[in-house]
Amino acid sequence: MNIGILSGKGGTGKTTVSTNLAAVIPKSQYLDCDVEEPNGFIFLKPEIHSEEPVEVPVPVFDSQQCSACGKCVSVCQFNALVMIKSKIKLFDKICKGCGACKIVCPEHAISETSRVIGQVTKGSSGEVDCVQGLLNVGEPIAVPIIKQVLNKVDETKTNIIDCPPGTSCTVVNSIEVCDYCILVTEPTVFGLHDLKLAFELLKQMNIPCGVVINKATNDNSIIVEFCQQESLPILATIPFKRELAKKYSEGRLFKDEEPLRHLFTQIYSNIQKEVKHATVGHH
Amino acid sequence: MKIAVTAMGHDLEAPMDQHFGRCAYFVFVDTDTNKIEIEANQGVTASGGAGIAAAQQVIDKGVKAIITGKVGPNAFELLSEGNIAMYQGLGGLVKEEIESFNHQKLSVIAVKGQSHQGIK
Repeated sequence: MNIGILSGKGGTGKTTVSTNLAAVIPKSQYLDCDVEEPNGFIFLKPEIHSEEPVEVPVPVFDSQQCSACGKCVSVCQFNALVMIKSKIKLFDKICKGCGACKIVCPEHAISETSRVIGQVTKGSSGEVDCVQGLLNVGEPIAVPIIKQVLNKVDETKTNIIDCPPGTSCTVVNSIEVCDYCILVTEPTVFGLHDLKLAFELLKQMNIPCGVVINKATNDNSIIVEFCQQESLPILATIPFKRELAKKYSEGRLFKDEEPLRHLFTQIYSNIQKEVKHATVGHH
Repeated sequence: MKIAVTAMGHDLEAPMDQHFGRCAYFVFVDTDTNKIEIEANQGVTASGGAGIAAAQQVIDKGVKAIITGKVGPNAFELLSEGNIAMYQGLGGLVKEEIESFNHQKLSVIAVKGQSHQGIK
């Protein structure tokens, strides 16, 4: 089973939930798809087994063959090519590697090479397999890294996919492979606002989901009422406690002590029930 | 020689547009013949690389100078390579900027601006 953890709003506790879930679920693999700022490894502290570069294709222009017809510049949908003084100039960070320029060139002056935009790291932390994607500083396009991280999804395990914040294409790519998603939120106006956006995305993508209310206080009605309206199950409520924030700031997992450990095992058994329920019938 | 002024509207009475990459229009002026041509900026609808598309458009037109507010890093690089001088407009109407240019009242944009300033 592939479980995605997203939130809409940043800072609600996706990594807290993902790393602790991965730590208590048997035969699990943790995959950090927040490749612009991965932080799961701070808590899981895995022993690293491998690192591989992520490469994207880029065109190479042979100026000897080039007749300066400008067809490549016209065909590029991303404005990555310019012609100045009969020479082609490439803005490689904007290039999406679609290959259209190579196809239209009448002189066959364009060939392909690749460049590195980041890396994927694999390791293990006790029984938990760990995968992390990292985009190089200054690179604008994260999706190829996310795709390479998700290539490591292991069908024999429960894959916990820690998603980026927001609801744009990086998140869409991270949750495409998910059977179930956890929406981590907090009982604030901003939390609710972005929860609604994230839930809308999951509805559009037809992925069943449930909510974890993190940093919960005495009155979480702002979230609870929304969940009731939308028939969204609340999988767990994690209290807003200074000691939890302290543990987090020390890079420590919560799973070593009760009642927190129980909270995370409960989330997992609730998800299993929800998934079973969904395959058997409709709510 | 040919120059281009970034414009917020489709005529000389329009205010100068402060952004190069995502300006609404280019007003092209031949300072020798006073001939005027106005074109919509190709970069304005681009999802990315707006400054690049805008720079390509003025390069293709054979301009020797542009008058605008801010130029982002990609456009700045291209215009410099194309030996196109960049002048700092005074924030008036397009026709006023052309006047100022003809009277050598405008200073050169020496430093590239920040990227993505044209996105609202």
